[in-house]
Amino acid sequence: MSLRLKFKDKELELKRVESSRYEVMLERQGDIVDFAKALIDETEREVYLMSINAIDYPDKGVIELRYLFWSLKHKSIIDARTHVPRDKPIAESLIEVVPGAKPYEQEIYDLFGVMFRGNKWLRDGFFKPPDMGTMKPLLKQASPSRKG
Amino acid sequence: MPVIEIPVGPQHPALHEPILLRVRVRGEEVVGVDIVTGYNHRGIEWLAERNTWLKTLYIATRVCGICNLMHATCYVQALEKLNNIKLPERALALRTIAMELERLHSHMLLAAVMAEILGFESLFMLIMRDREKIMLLKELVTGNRVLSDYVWPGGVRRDIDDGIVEKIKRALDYIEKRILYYRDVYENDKLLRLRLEDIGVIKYNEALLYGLVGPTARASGVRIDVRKDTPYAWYDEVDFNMVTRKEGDCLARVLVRLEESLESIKIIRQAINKLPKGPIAALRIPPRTFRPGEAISRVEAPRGELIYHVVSRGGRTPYRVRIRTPSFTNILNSVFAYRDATLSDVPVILASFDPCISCMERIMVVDERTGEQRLEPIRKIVRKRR
Repeated sequence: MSLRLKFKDKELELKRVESSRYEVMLERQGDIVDFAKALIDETEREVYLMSINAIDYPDKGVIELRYLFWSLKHKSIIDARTHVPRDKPIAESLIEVVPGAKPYEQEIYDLFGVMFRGNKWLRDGFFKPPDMGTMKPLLKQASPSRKG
Repeated sequence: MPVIEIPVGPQHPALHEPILLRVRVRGEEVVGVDIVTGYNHRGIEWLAERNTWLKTLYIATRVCGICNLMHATCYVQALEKLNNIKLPERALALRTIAMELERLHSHMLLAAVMAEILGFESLFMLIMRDREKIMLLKELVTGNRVLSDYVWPGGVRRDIDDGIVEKIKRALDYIEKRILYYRDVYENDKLLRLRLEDIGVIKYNEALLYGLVGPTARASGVRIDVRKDTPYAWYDEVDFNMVTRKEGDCLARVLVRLEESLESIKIIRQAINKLPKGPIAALRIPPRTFRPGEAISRVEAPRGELIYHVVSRGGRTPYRVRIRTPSFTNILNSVFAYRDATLSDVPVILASFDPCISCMERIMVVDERTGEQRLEPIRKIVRKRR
């Protein structure tokens, strides 16, 4: 079973991977902004951003970004998967469409170093202690215990 | 009138939540709030990637003292999904009982702390006295009143007998009467209402737009509750109501919690009345390795939706454990709730989200004409005003 969403004048198919989770892969990270707009329209604003999760994959050369939304209409997680290259971790910010994305983007910048274009509140030390400087502790090669 | 910035936090003697609110006020009126984090980052996610699956369970349990069982259950549920472990009914029911005891004492704690912040110290002491009965029940069920290490992959580690069931029944009868009384106090006391009603209002659309969760969102009418939306443990076997209110103010957030406490009592009673017989764990020894894949696990913690996203590549350690706690979004995304408030409302609004922040004995004075900032002790400001 799948869910269809009007996205950029096309129909986007979201695959049902669990009883209450639909998944979609967005090839371009920048598409997340239009995807969020489409999801808000489809659910008649009955949706919220649950989390943005980052996962570092050095072997694939990417940092995966998982945008998890909860649709009250579908009683399901809408899991939008996308990624940015590790060597140039720049992403489009979602805060213009979903202001609740702000702390998630701040956290990912602080711990993974992904720069979100349009989020002016990004800073080192949002969570991590000041003695870690600009180090990104959740990247796989990071070793805070040995002071980077 | 100059805008002065008052740092509220980062330490507080009540709930010890290290976070700083930089509150800008013009006279008594709050004109803006910035939240500064980073005082207590313990690197839990980093630790999880470098410890074994089971050691990470102990780390997850210690993310939060109040809702440690919720963290343990959420993490363990993810592991059970990875290895497709089916739990015996009794284990699911016991987990539900333990989690609802945790919700009960957490909601009672907030009701008590709110009373203390509002200056109702006797009310604070009375609620804390009654809450102690729940802590004792939690000890009887899980083995410890606070950190319990009760949940294992495949089940739970302790069973309960008829004697404990009787003690739970007796204590719940008492607690139910007390919670009804406290709800009545919060609902009808004129002074409490004056301090809580129409303060820190969050509208329905704002709660969704900013991704607020748990009682904070439900007090604004948002119908979200993981226990109802995607039942886990034994929640599909018990009958209970999702408590919502429409007002979205501090009073609604307190009352939602008190009414949810009554629902928790209802859930525990049903679970112990039809507690299935049988084993309390599917496995004698939990597995040491977990299959490659990923699992997103959610539970309804006392403060709202808790998420664990666990990624496995096989082996003895998790590849990634992402934890999204409800307070992360409820605290960081709720600064708009302080609009139109007065300075004395700030701790009340903050407490209504269920953390606690302190006031340090100094303030930052900002000269709007020159932009100059300086720190001055409160005593000096008071002397100037005289």
